[in-house]
Amino acid sequence: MTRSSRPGLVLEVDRRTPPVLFHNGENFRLERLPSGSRIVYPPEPLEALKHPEDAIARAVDNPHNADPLRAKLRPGMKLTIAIDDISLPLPQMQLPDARQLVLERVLTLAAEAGVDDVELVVANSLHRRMTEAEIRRMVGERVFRSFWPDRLRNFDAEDPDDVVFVGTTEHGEEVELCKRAFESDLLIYVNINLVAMDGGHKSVPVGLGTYRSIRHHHNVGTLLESKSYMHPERSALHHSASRMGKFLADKLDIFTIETTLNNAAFPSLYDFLSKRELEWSLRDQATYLAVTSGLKRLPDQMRHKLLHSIASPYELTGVNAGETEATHAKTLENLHRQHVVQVEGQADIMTCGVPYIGPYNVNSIMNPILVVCMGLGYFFNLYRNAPLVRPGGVLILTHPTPRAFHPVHHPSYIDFFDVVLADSTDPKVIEQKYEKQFAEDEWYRHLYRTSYAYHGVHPFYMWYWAAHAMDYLGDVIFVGGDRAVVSRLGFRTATTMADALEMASETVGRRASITHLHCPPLFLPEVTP
Amino acid sequence: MKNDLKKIALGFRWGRPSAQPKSAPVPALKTEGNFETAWARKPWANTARDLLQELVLLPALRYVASPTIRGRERLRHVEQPVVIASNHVSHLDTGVVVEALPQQWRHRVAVGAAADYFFTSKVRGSLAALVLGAFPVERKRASATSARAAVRLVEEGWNLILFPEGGRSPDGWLQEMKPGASFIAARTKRPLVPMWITGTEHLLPKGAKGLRRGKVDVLIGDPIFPKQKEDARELQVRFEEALLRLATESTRDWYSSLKQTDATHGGPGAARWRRVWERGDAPPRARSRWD
Repeated sequence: MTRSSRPGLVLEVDRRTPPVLFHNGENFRLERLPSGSRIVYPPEPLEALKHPEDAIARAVDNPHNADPLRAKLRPGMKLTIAIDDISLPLPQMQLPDARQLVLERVLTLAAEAGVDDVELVVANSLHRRMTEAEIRRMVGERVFRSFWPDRLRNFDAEDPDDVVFVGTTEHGEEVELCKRAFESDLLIYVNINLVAMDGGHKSVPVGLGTYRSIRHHHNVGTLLESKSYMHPERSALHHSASRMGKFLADKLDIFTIETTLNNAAFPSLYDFLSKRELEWSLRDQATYLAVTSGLKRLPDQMRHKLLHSIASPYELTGVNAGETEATHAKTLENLHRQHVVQVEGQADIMTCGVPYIGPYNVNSIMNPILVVCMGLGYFFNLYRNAPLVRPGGVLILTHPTPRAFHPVHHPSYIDFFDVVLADSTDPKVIEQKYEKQFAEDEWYRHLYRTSYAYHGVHPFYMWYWAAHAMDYLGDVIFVGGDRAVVSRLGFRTATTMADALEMASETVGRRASITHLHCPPLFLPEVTP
Repeated sequence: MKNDLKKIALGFRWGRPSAQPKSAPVPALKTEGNFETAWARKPWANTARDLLQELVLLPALRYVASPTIRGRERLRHVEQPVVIASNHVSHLDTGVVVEALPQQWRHRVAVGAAADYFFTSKVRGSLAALVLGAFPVERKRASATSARAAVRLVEEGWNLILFPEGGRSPDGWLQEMKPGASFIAARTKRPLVPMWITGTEHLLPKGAKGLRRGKVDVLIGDPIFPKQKEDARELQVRFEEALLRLATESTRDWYSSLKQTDATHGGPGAARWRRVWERGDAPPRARSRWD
């Protein structure tokens, strides 16, 4: 990549501004925003590392606050390498995956040092197990053939033989971990850091943790106290994960390798998704028309397959390795270089389109609960300092919210939607009344362990992610949503954007200011209230 | 599909020049300033332009605008090339300035045109280059490419027409002026000729869809000769004074303008309607020679 990267942009809409693109589930829509509205655009992708393999080698040879990896490896040792799962990056990256490059370097060093007892564990925590094909794609053919299936596997957080209770932190948080990892002489964690929320101490205790551990920070109280998920210092969730991480680091040798990617989220065919509309060429306009009308006409399954086959041309912008905290500090620096866009002032109304993909529906279906998690959990919380919208403001999202669930991946979500949400949408009530029951349900446990299902408690966590937004906002409106579904979720539906703005005026008045988050590609508005 | 097509056609200004939102960064399109127009100054293109202008454009302009040109005598001892800088209120201004020039000057004229307006599509840019002799000028920022191109044209003997306001005035009042014309004159040491146009804003104002007939006045000022060590900023001061004097002369008389220039050509600092109101009504329609 030779072109220079332009920083993000806050554009004020005037009569010359073309309509703005909204993601709309498995399609897209163009909307005209009123004059005076602001559109926050992401920065352009940073220039990638020219020789990523060399950068990885340099990082593990010159780690932060730790001995070089080479010095830690010795014959006869027990080495476990944990890897981030399929929830990162989004969409999946074009091959080779960053994790493959890191693994190949680490394993080359391990082989040179004569380490025989090596095991690779996908740190999927309470996420669904990755399929053989997905793992093969992620780690690459060489690694896969060398280790699958005995020494390359998914982590099973419900396997009593592979879970160990480590102890409790000074705050009384119970720490349970993958036994193999805990009993290793060295645990290497290979991470992809897509947003500032990922990585650091959140990797090991969460990725290799169990329900017993994770419930201490994935709960309504902690998430309500987290003032900015993307700002670890201001996030109670991160404080808790940090305590657990430090607790583990005292008992276990952890070597963290973190990678950062640029935000080249879409291949050139879909350029219109990344470009600012005012720079759309005729070709982009034609592609938009062709793609949207084509997607409209395709049968559900084909549309779904087509979209999930999109692989991002992400490229590595940095690799850091060593002690977790020192490494993560460098990672965040690098991430902010790509992501941060300065925004002055909060708006009365925030608008955003919910895309077809999120961390929990890769090769799957984005069901209504995941839509809420994406819109209210992730996009609303995509800020530093303060949200893009003021307290009591309105969030307008575009998504058709069909009542569609993946029966294999999301079985507990179906019951959550039909049973739990029919009773209450209040996260606190739901947590008290239903969480334990779903978390300990034997059938969900069985599906999580033997099939490809998310853990029974997972839909609760998705709902908790949205708790901060539900508490903070005055109203949430879905444009183009299924009325029955949105009503079950506890929100309101509008047919058009104009209707949604009209409805929002009941809450924020007629002279409301509007800010549109032009996302994805992902970025991080730093908002000065 | 039909709705989407309509939304795109309207939203992306199909058939109209693309325009940038005011808060958009520049340049949004990287090719505008580099639009190649050298071919439009080749002999064949120059001849075609002369024919088009003399046989079609200028007669049509005379029919529509009946221009009255005053001050042409001020150019009688001036040698080409020169830099001509005028106020700008309408698309008709370029034609009016060309009409105001002495006959023998019209054959070597290049017009600085907004890169982000005229040169956003190949068809529009090529037409502007052929018919008007236009070349792209970046107006939202100081561009070394534009400045170099303009200086080269003057050095090659082309008279340059520039509108230092950087765009048409939305209400007829003078806008803030950019120093590009003075920079080129100072750099090439060629005379800077101020011009003041009145009336075109009533015939084809900014944003108008139709053309009206009427009467236009053009006042040509004394050429300003850059002094030996004068830089662009000093020349700009002299130029702005001269242009204001011309504006005063156009509304009052030459002698009054010498004594005191009217400093309110920027118009009152008030709402748009009051600024338009202040300028008064459109002049009466020109009488047809058959009336």
